[in-house]
Amino acid sequence: MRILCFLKAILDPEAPPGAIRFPGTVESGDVATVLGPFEGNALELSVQLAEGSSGSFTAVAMGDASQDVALRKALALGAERAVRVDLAPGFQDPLAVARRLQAAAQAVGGADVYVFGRQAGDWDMGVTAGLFAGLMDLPFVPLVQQAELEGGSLRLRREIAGGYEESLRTPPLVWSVTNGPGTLMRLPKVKDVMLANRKPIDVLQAADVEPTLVLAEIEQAQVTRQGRMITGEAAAQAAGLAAELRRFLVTGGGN
Amino acid sequence: MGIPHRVVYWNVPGHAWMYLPLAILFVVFLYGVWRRWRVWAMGRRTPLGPLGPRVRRLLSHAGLQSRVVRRPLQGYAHAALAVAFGLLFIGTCVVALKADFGLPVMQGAFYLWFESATLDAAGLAGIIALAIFLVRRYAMRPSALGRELADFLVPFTLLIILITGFLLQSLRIYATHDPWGAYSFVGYGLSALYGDWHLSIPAALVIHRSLWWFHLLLAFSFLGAIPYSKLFHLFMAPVAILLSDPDGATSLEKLDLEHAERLGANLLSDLTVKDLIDLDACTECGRCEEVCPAFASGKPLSPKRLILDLREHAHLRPQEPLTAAIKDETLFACTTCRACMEACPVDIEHVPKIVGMRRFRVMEEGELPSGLAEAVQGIEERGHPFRGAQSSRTSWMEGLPIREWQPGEACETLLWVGCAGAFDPRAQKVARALAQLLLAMGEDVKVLGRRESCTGDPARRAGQEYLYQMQAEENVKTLTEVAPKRIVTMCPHCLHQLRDEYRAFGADFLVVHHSEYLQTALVTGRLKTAAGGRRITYHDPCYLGRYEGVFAAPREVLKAAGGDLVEMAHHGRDSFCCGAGGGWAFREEGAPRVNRLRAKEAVETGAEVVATGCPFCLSMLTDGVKAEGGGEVEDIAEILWAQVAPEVTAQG
Ligand code: SF4
Ligand code: SF4
Repeated sequence: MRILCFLKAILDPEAPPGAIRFPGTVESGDVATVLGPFEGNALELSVQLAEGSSGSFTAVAMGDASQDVALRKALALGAERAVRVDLAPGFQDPLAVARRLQAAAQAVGGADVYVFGRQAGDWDMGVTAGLFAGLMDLPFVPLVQQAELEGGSLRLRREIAGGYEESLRTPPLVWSVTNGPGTLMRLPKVKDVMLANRKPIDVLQAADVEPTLVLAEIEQAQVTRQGRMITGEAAAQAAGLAAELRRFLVTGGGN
Repeated sequence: MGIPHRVVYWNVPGHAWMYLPLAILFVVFLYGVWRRWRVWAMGRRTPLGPLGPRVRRLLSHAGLQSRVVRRPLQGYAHAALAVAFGLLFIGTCVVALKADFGLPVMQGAFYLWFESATLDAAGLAGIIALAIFLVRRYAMRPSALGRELADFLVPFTLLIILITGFLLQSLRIYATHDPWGAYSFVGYGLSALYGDWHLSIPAALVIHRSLWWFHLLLAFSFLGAIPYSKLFHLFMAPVAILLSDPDGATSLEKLDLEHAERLGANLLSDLTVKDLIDLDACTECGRCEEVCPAFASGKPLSPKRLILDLREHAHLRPQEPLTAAIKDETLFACTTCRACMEACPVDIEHVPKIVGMRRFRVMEEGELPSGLAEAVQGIEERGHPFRGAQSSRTSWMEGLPIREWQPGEACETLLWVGCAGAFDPRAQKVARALAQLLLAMGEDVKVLGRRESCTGDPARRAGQEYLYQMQAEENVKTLTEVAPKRIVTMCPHCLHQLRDEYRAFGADFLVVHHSEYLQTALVTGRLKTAAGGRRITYHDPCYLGRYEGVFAAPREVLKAAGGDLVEMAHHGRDSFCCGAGGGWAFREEGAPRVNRLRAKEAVETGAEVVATGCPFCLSMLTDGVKAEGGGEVEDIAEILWAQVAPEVTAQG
């Protein structure tokens, strides 16, 4: 089974507040670039699937050389090939991303399954995988937590309210992975890390696509907390609450 | 009467038969030694430094038993027993020289004063020592001492050998009316009893002859059992001491990551010869277990058990992986506090073995306990182990006239803050206090800021040597470029790295702990303090005390800050770990927690303030002391700054 796992390294989500200044610039050089958390989950399921199908997987990331941390992780965990679609860093419109990834997928020869993290931890839009599936005209299963090979098919498990949902799917297909009991990324073995650091990363030129969404401005949300106690009899409380909600909807909160 | 002497093999016709069991003894003994040799031969070469310090250690630890006697009762008993058996061994050799080689050595004054009087005294001392051992083990029943059959047989057999020796002597004196008998005062005293009991001479002869064979066979069996029992430490303890690292193995071995066949230890052949000899040198005294914080807090680790389990594994399953003998919970329970190594009378090195096995689990198999895994990943990704930190490397110094070093600048005093000082809100206060003290001294203080990165110590102690080496190389490169005149640090773990372990990476910097630097400043009058008067107890951090040998400086600083010092039950070299070392600072620990045990001791001193000199101890003890209902926990820098600040203000 051929697996393509899409990865993204993002600015450290644990960077202290204020270290990253918008729009999209980093105030100081000590904010690290790390593999996005859901991409870690996607990588783990790709490793499991590759092991289960005695196949391997290819890791794909898009961006400048700072993306290599993600690709090296994949190589250390057994990826047979690491591909970086070369692109300047900064905000990317999800549809343009999906289009470029579609071109990259075709350039590396396609695959049976395409694995994404549920959303990139920086912009948190969570739409790229779905858009990619649409462009590829493939079925899409979001928020997978477990994937097992069964014959030529895949048994995918997702969490739903009050339990699990399992479905048997036949490749080719696209799915995205969310965190769950079995998706914690394993620690690579040091020998493999050392080997991975010597392996090449293939760089592809990004396809030319027109962006459909342009980032005009971005502002950091100001967190304010204000509490108001509504007292009195039950009926008075209900009326007070309704009045508050109405006022909130009209004024958007505030005083 | 002639020249004083005695007839060897008196009353034992056919004594020549004794060479038969003697020959068997030799074969059995040599086979036992060979079995053990086979295991040692599997080890890799022990990296050895200069011989001088090793020999000094041998003379002190084995010759003078300086570590053994740290526990006075059993210590002096053991030393007495060792000396007694040494003398009795010499005495037996003298007998052999006379009997087998016909040398006239057993006569005259030497016979009277050494072979008779001294050896009787030795035998008596041996009996007393053995009685103490038995009483301690079976009446006082300390949990660190085993009570299995072998634990009983060893002292008991020795006791019987000594007692029968005296009985033989007394029967001979009685039957021969030995004119020099009084020199053998114990035997002589006993022989006086036989007259009272009207023991007939023929009966005495028969008893003597039977007892002679019994004594001989028992002694031979005992000797033959040595290579098969813990008694083998007689031979191996001195070797283990001689091979031990004179610096106490405080610095871990630098692993050759490129060429090592396996990263870390998982087969006997991954351990050093010294490691394997250690297993046979263990006396099973249990001292390591008594002082182990992991054991005391109920974790599945006893350093003694670890050594014995490895020994059993080495002899029963020499080809199998060590993971079959030592479980992960045991390996990762260790705080690397070195208390066990400090207590071990025969210089067994537990921590290098534990870390060696961790290296294998972490680097070859990708296993790390949760919490520690995240911390190590933090070091890899962002250069520090504190997850969810809300600060940058320089947030702590906001508003202070301290600058980050810039390339090309000279650097007088470099304050190495450490990750805790930068990212842990409590330790940030210590960093500020220290920085203010340095400024008050008129120092030109600089920090590395974003150029500072974790020394890698938590990764190394966890077994992630690869990550550690990358951190070490990077930091040594940075520091070499900065070339500071001196580095002052408030973290003992950083101190140990920068001062010692980084030497293997080409570092050679002048590095001091803040306690040392502040003490000097106080002595030379660069810092002046206002009157204090609080009752303070000081907790020795493992990495400052047992690792770096700094005990006096922090205490002097506290005294200068007007502290009225009281010591905890465990202090100095015997200090008890706070529970943070070996990566535990980043792990969830179940109850009972090590820090509670330590905090209890601190609170019991009645001190108003618990002082320490390590940000990790500070955090552990703050939790513990609060839970135990004690007072404040502060770093020495904070305590001193509180006394210095008014002086600075007064001077304007
Ligand atoms: S180093 Fe400390 S925690 Fe580890 S085994 Fe020795 S005494 Fe126990
Ligand atoms: S390792 Fe050392 S301290 Fe521990 S039981 Fe053996 S000899 Fe005693």
